[in-house]
Amino acid sequence: MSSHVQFPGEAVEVFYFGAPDQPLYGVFHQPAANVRSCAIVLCPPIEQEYIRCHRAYRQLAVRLARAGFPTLRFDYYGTGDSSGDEAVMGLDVWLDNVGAAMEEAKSRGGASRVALVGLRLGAALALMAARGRPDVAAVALWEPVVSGREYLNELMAWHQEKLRYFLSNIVMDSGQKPTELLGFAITDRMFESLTSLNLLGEGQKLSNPVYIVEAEPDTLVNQLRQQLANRSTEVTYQNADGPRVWTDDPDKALVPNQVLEAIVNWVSGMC
Amino acid sequence: MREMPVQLGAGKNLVGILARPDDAGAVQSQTAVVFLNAGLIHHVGPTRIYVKMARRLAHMGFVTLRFDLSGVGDSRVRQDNLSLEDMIVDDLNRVMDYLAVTERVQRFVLVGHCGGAFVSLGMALRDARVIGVVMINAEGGDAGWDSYDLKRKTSRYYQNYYGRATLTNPEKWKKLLTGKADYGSIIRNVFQNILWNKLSATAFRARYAVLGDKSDSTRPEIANMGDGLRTLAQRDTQILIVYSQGSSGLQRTRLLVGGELQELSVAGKLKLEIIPQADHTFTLLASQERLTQVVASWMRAFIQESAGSKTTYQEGVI
Repeated sequence: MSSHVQFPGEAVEVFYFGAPDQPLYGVFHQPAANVRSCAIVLCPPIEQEYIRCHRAYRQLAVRLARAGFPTLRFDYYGTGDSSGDEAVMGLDVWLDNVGAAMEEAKSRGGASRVALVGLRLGAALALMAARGRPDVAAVALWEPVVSGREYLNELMAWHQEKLRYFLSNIVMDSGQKPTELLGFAITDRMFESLTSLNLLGEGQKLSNPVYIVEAEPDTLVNQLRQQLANRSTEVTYQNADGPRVWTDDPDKALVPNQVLEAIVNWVSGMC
Repeated sequence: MREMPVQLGAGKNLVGILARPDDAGAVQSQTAVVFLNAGLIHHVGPTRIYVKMARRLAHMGFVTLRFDLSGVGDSRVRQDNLSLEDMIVDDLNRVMDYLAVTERVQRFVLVGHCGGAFVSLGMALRDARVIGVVMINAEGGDAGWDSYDLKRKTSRYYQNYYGRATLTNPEKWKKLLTGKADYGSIIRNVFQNILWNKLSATAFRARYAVLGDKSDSTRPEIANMGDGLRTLAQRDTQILIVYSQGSSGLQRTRLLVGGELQELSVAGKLKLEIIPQADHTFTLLASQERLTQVVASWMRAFIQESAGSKTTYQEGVI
């Protein structure tokens, strides 16, 4: 179930991988030359943020491949082109998906190690997936979601904003659990799963070097940075200006060049 | 239903997901459904609606392909310096040629949202293999109407913002009556963002209705939409036009080709469906489900009628 084609400078292959009853959509960018022994897995955000950042993510994959990294983009179960729907989605399922993606990337890239790069919720999943994995060479977090509760609040505020453009006035009940946000179902399982996410509550030491990049300093991200540093994790922090591609209109086709360049540079130095 | 990724076209740069019905013998009337990019959104469609529709139709027995045009989504840009229009036509030709060979289908239904809706119409006019088009929220492509749309939405936004929830909120009234409210902001929003935008939008629409299309900024495929629909109908190509309730695109289409809509509907060549409580990208799940049902029902009826098919349709669960 795969299709493969060679372009000048790189090869791109699209395929399904993972468990046969829950196939995941993957796009593998194979460098043409100077291939490194470390593969990259790009962990995407979810739902509306995933759709809006797609162009930037593809650009990031192309640039990483040009820097010599075999790079895998993929969709979590129940998102994008992967199988499944919202009914069984949750962080545990997606963490398993990141694990499967790491094995796939190493296998396809002939690599012994892997680096994880994640945006928003994808960054949280990348950090969680890296724990206890000696084969993870580095983790790059782009505007990471630190608190699932805070993240849900942001999505609810965004959803309410969108509802104000409707013909009739639809008001979310702020006291109720949302059943849908921004075009996607929020099941009880997913709501509870996201609510339980708190990277500041993760006690385990992380031995992998971590990179954090964000446009503007965020309090929770700063706390995460301090906590990681206090536990002897090697942390590099960088401010890099750029459009918020995960919320911007996809028809603007924005690509945050400075951020992508910063990520490629850091990963290239680490792996 | 089984999905597989495909790469095809010049240099195999085009990427898409092919969904095949479980039972190859159940392929309906040798007709494939091709989903076209909604603007620059990649082939999953806005709110992943293309995935839901493609899977529903595949369960019903249709081969479906959701793919990205060159330079969009997962598809690479082409290297042959074609114009945008020629590139789109050539990409779609290659997609249909590919499906004709691999899936043995000879007829195609093109489904497009937003800009993709106009692409579906334009391609159908060029290629007789296209026996049906589904145009969903065909909007944009005209600076005057884009500005009208923005004014209406801005007005609606602030109207809803200052709606019942705010007016019945004691805290808001307390702030207003104790001098703690931002009066400048309230006045600006009520008079400029609500009233002025509403007046301005109404004036634009009235002017358009009276004077007709006087804008040089209207893209030809929109200005000539009436001729296009009529040509397709004469060729027996079926047309489904879907709009979200209150869409400015619907208003424009009615003003521009209201006569054709009426005439072709009566002749059974065209169906206009309006989805209630829906925005441009079908944010609410109920509107997504309604849209999917509308497209699936139309496909079922249309294929049965056009092919004289006696096959039964297998409704599936996504």
